[in-house]
Formats: sequence, structure tokens, C-alpha cells
Amino acid sequence: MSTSDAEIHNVFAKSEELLEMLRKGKEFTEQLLKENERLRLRTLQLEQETLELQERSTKGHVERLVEENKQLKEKLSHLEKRFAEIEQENFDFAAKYAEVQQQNENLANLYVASYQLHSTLDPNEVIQIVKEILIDLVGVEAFVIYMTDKKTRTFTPLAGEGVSPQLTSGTLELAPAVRAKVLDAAETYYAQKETADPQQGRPFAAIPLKIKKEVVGVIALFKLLSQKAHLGATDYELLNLLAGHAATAIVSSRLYFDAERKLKTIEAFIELLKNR
Amino acid sequence: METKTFLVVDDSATMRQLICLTLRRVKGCQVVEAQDGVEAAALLRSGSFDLVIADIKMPNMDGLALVKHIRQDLKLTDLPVVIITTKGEDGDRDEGLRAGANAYLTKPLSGPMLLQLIERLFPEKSNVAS
Repeated sequence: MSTSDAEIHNVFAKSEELLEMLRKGKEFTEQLLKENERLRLRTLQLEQETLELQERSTKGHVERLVEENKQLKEKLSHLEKRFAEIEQENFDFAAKYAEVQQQNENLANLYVASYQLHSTLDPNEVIQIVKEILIDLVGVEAFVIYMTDKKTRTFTPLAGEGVSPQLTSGTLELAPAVRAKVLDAAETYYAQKETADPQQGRPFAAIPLKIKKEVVGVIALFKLLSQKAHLGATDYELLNLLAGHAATAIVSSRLYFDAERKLKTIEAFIELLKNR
Repeated sequence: METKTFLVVDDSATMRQLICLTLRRVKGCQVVEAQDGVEAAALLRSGSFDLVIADIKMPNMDGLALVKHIRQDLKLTDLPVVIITTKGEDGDRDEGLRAGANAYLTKPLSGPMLLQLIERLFPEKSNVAS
């Protein structure tokens, strides 16, 4: 074999090697392309899955939030309802407390008035107590206490406060309707307005002093204290109490006083007879 | 709780009883009564009191004279004094406040008003029983 043949053969062998290398390269490239394609597909799948997961996750979260929101709204509504109920209860309790406090004061006033009226058998003290009740507890500035004459059915003044001397010395003139209400029906008369002119002798209220159904006297109210705008529930209760208890207290104390005086006279007379 | 002693001065037994009945609602309080300023002054000289509630109109020594006596003669400058007035005694009321009375109440007396006043005068603790 010549040198050139050997070289040709050598070149041929090298080209064969190169071809083999290129073939392997081609196969490797094809494998790479395949792998690349597979990875691309996988990436796409993962992206798709991620998107789905994200979508699902957001949707669930929103739903959960909506549910929580709904529950909170219900809770808020319930709390608002309870708050309104408790506020109303609180308001009712406050009103009840004020009412109880008012009743407590009424009872205290009535107790004191009743206790004091029956605490003495001295007619002057009884009258003084009636005056104190009218001034200190009811808040009357001008009034006169009259006793009724059974025969003439006229009113004779017994004591008064804040009125002219004429009023405490004269008789009480009442309008026929008022007279019928107070004297015949034994009911308390209240005028529309709680002021009257003491000079004119017409009271704004006339409280019959009664023992059972019999009217033994009248308390005529002419004027309230300036700081007292009008009569309240307690005042009506006190005046009602006076209508019954003051009458008994005044009459019994006067009877006791008369009996005592007569007893003393009889005792003195007996003593005189003994000494003769 | 510290016991407080109140002196109620009024010639009207009705008013005294009503005030005492109201003051019974103040926890830990003792009430001593006097019929006029003279009796009250004697009690103040011999004992210790935390509050004086006095009517203006009284025989022997009236409420005004009592306030002046408490501040000027007895030198009880810190003793709270409440005067009770009726209409037509506005001048006396002002004079009473000038003489050293701490507060005033007007007739007809209201129990809740008296209790509110006591709470104001003794704010360190709520003494009033509800």
C-alpha cells in the first residue's frame, strides 16, 4: 500500500469517527429536545395546577371570610338586640328605682304626719302639727283650718297661716258647687289653678276634715310656697291623710281637753262640797 | 366605716322627725335632736358633731344666730352647717350663707335633696343606702 492510500484510508477512518460522533451528537440533541419538550409540558402542567390551586385557595378563603362575616353580623345583631334589651331593662330599673324612691318619700311623709297627729292630746299642739304638715311637708304658704257648725252648717276659723286677720276671724264662703262637694259629698275640692287670692276668701283647695262620713271641718288652701309650683302625688296623699287623721286628732284632743276641764271643775266642786 | 353625728335643730317636731327618718338612710350616722339654737349651742359645746342642720325660724335662738354662734363664738369653722328656709326668708338665707352656713334647703323638705346634699358635703364615700 502506498503512502497516499494509507492517508486516504486514515482520512476515511477519521471521517467515519466524525460521522459516528455527529450521529451520537444528533441522538443526544434529539434526547435533549425530547427532554426539553417533556419539561416544558411539565412546567405548563405545574403552572396550570398552581393557577387552579390559587384559584381554589382564594375562592375558599373568600367563602370562609364571607361565612365569618355572616357569623359576625349575626353576632353583632344579637349583641345589639341584647344591648337594646339591657338598655331598656336599665331604663325600666331606673324608672322603678325613682318610683320606689318617690314611694319611700311618700311613706316617710305619711308616717311622720300620721305619727305626729296622734302624738298628743293637746288641741293646740294638734293644730300646730297640722300647720307644720301643711307648711313643712305639703308646702302651703296660706291656709285656714275651719270647724263646721253642725246646726248652721257654717265654717268657723280655728287657726290659719299667711292670710289676713279677716280671713281667720270670718266664716268661709264657698261657691255652692264647692260647698256641695266638700260638705255634702265629703270630697276634696281642687281648683284648676293652684293659686287663689286669700283676700277674696276663695281657696284653690278645700279638704274636708271628716270622721267617717261626717264633715267636722275644712282646711282651705289659698297659696302654695313660691318654690312649690303645684301639688304632687305625695301632697294629695298627705291631704287625704289630713282629711281623716287630722279630723280625728282635732276632735279627740278637744274632747279630751273638755273632759279634763270638766273633770277638774267637778273635782273642785266636790272638794268644795266636802269642805263645807 | 367612720360614724358621723348629725345635729338636727328645729322647733317643729314634724320636721325633726322627717329629717331624722331621712338621715337614717345614711350609713353609720347618728342623729341628735335639738328644739332651738340654745339647746343646739349647749350640745355643740359638750359634744362633737359632723354636721348641723338647722331651721332658720326658731324661738329663743334662731338659725341665723346659731350659725353666727358656731362660727364666731365656738370657732367651729370646719363644721358644715345646712340651713332650712321657707319663702320670704331669702334675706335670712343669704345672711345665713354669709355668716358661714355651707348650704341651704327650702321647704317643703325633700328627702332625696337632703341625701344629695349630704353626699356633696361628704364626698369621700357614698354613705347613702339605696
